[in-house]
Amino acid sequence: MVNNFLPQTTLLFLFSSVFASLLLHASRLPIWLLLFSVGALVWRALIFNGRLIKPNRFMKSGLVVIGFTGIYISYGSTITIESMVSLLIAGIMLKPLEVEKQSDAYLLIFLNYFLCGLLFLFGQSPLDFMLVILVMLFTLSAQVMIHLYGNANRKQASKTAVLLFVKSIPLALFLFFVVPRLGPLWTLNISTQSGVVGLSDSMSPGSMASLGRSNELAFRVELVDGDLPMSERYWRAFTLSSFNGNEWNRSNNLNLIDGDFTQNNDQLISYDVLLEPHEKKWLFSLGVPKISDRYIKLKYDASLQSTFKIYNQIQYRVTSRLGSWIDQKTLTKRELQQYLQFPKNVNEQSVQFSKALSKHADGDALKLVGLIETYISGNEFEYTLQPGVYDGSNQIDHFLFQSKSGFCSYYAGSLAFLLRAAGVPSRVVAGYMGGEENPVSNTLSIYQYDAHAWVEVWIEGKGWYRVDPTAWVSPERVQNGLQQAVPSGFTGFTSQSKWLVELRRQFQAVDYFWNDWMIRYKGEKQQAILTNIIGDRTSTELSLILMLSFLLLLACLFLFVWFDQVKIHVRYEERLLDQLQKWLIKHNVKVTSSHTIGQVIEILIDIYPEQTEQLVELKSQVNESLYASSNGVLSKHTFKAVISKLKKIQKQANK
Amino acid sequence: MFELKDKFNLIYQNWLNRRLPTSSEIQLTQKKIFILPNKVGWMFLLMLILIFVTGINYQNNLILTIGFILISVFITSIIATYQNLSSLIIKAKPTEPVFLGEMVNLPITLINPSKNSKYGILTGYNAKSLLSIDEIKEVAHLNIPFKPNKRGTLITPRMKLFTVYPLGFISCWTWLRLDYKGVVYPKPLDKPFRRMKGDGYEDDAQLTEIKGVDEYQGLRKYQKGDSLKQVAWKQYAKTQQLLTKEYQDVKGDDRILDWYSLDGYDLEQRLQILCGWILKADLQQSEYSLRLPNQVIAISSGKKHKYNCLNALAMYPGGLNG
Repeated sequence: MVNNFLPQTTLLFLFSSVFASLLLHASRLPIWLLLFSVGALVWRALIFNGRLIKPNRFMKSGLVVIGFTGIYISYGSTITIESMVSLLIAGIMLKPLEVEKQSDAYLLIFLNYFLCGLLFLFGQSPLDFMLVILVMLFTLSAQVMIHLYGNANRKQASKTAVLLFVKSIPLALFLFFVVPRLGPLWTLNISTQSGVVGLSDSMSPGSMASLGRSNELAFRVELVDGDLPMSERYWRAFTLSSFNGNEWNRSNNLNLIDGDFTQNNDQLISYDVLLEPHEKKWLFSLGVPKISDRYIKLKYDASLQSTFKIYNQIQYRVTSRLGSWIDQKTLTKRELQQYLQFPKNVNEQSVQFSKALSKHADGDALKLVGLIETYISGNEFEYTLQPGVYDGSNQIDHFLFQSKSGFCSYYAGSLAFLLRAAGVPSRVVAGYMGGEENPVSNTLSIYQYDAHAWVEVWIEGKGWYRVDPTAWVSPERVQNGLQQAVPSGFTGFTSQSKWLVELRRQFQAVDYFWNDWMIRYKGEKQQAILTNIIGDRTSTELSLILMLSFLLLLACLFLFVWFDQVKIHVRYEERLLDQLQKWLIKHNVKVTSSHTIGQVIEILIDIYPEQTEQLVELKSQVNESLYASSNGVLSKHTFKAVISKLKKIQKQANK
Repeated sequence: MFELKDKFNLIYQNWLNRRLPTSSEIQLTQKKIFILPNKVGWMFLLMLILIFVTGINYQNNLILTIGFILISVFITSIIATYQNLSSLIIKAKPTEPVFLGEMVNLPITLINPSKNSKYGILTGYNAKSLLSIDEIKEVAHLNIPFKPNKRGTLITPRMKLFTVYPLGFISCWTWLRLDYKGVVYPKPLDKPFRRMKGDGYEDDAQLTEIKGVDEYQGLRKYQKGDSLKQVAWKQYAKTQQLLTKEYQDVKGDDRILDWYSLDGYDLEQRLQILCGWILKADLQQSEYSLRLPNQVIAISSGKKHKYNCLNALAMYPGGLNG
């Protein structure tokens, strides 16, 4: 029977559900693939009409070759998620051409579920989730419909599917909250083709300008404990220590350290960072961080680094000591060399300028910084995202003495250079500065346009001191963020009306809760919540409790079935017979199961001749009810009436 | 090896007989229903593994959520499939008698006592050709064609009632042996009658010819069951009174369909020939009696008599009937 041919209505419904999941992915697919898919479905529809023939084996392989070639041309030979999904779609869309029987339909349905789920590789918004659930219900309905055989009825199938889905929700919720999430089993992360916007490993003067125009979310922060004033919102990602005259490059050879920089009596702040995937390893933190996570390491420059690249949103909790200082009393020889290095024979003017200033500073690093500040704030330097292009080799000279306009990376790079030229160890820090408060969800949102670079100066015997030269020219940048600092060059938002901002905040809050509960409910967060509910247990106890509760839930489900069964099983004629038998047993009359109700009443008449009239009436009432029902079943109503009459008779008889 | 298989089969059959005894009415309760995931179900679980691996590998909670939802739907569908069969009442109605070698339609009534309709139930005696019942709201009547292979009481093999509704992941079935209170007559064989002649027997085409030998005795009042051929129609035309011509049975045993006249045939063949004679005699509307080693049915005619005789043949002990 599994090899039944499916009715046309069922097939059409099934193919519509496949088409729906195609639509889910449509926005990312090349146009030819959409046409290809729609073409295949139209062909199938024309087979119904008898206008086109079924494709033979030769035609089918031809179509497969076309699909493969098309995907190779569109995506090239590198394997990305997009190309794999497109390949799957091409395969699924050709499948309807050969689906006729019930057994063919299953594969199509199962692939369709899989395809629905794959949407979440590209988007995880609440809307995406709703759409996927809708298409899944559609597919589920089609699956029900193929088992209705000749009675294929769309409404009936959808009703059953929705009911089944609703009944499954409690179990699904339980699994969602309780099933522990495994870490990635192996690193087979096929990256997305488009890549993501974010900081890069190196910093040339112009490199952060593109970020300044991006309003994509970089990460969010939820404060657990403590206050975070605007002036302390320097989110460090990594330090840049080697300068080649054009670019600042990351300090890669830094050791990882165990333990922490912070001291016990420091004023600390705890916060959760909810990081958007940036496909890099670096993580963001404030000041001097402390972390306990086996996947996250603390580096020697007090920055955090993940052990794997971040392809999915992750969450980590950090405790930081705020302030401008990072302790490091001494530098090794190698470190000194690294933090004093700069290319010779370029930017000669700046080197001379630095040396002159250094004489005035009497070797005091902070005094030197002050002198540089005086120069920059006194010489009409300008903060702009469009400083113009300079191709020469003496970039710092050009910036300090000619153009005098640029943004954070210009100022940070130049300051670090000047300090090094004067023999003061220094480094550039890349990260983000600022963060927009959302009072609805009580979080800070840090966007790509908050990308920032600043400088850390090393003071012997103390450590690294944070200096932000951008603040000298544009205090607004540091006080209020980039939006106020450069209204003209900034294209992130075009409208800033109040209600729009409010609306945006509401959306962000929904998005935040969605992210918090759906996307990131795993790992430590899950453990913390479960611990809250069932207390602190060892992992063996925990797994035992989870197993037991799962079994309990299953038992509940099956118990429900059992009770359901008992309810249906009640047959009133049998219960009536039971009652009559009980009465007869008092008179030592045995009744076998083959006796009918009528026969038993006859026996009763023999025993109680005085009640003959009433008993005969009773008998006819039972018989009428039995014949009236279509299936020879006594109705509940009659049963109750008969039982009450019987009790009256019994009372009379006993007098 | 085969012995072992047979032994297991026997044990299984005995177990089935204990669990699901022959009955003319059965309500499917939890003990009478078998339920297991089928090939489609396993295939689905395989696809679920693919979803979970994808979800774990990309650390994607929403893909995992889809997996959780689908596995819950799978588990819920076990119950739904079970409920689609449980509580169903199956009644076998008495069947018409049938001759061996002919098809009989077994009338079955399915009663659904629960509120919800039952859908997509397949039924039949042969797993390869199952009949689908698309929907049972309250009652469904169906006739399952069946070809008996034994004379005697109608014994049907176990009937399969099978459903995978709603999702096809789970097979839920039962094997019922229903009692239709039916009878299977021997297969009639067309042979000329045999009657006593002298010491032996000789073939004869018609039973009525024997009647020619009978002597006319007179008329008596027509009684129900009298052959219409013996009605005195001439008298009826005159007097409007139905009278039956009475004959004196000269050779009293001439209209006996006699087991002992069939020497040289084996048991079943004798029954088959006797069956053929009964049908022929009934067709000729003549009176006849039947003599079997274990019983004699007195001379008579009519439908009831015919069925009495055929029943006696069907129930005749020995031979295929065990």
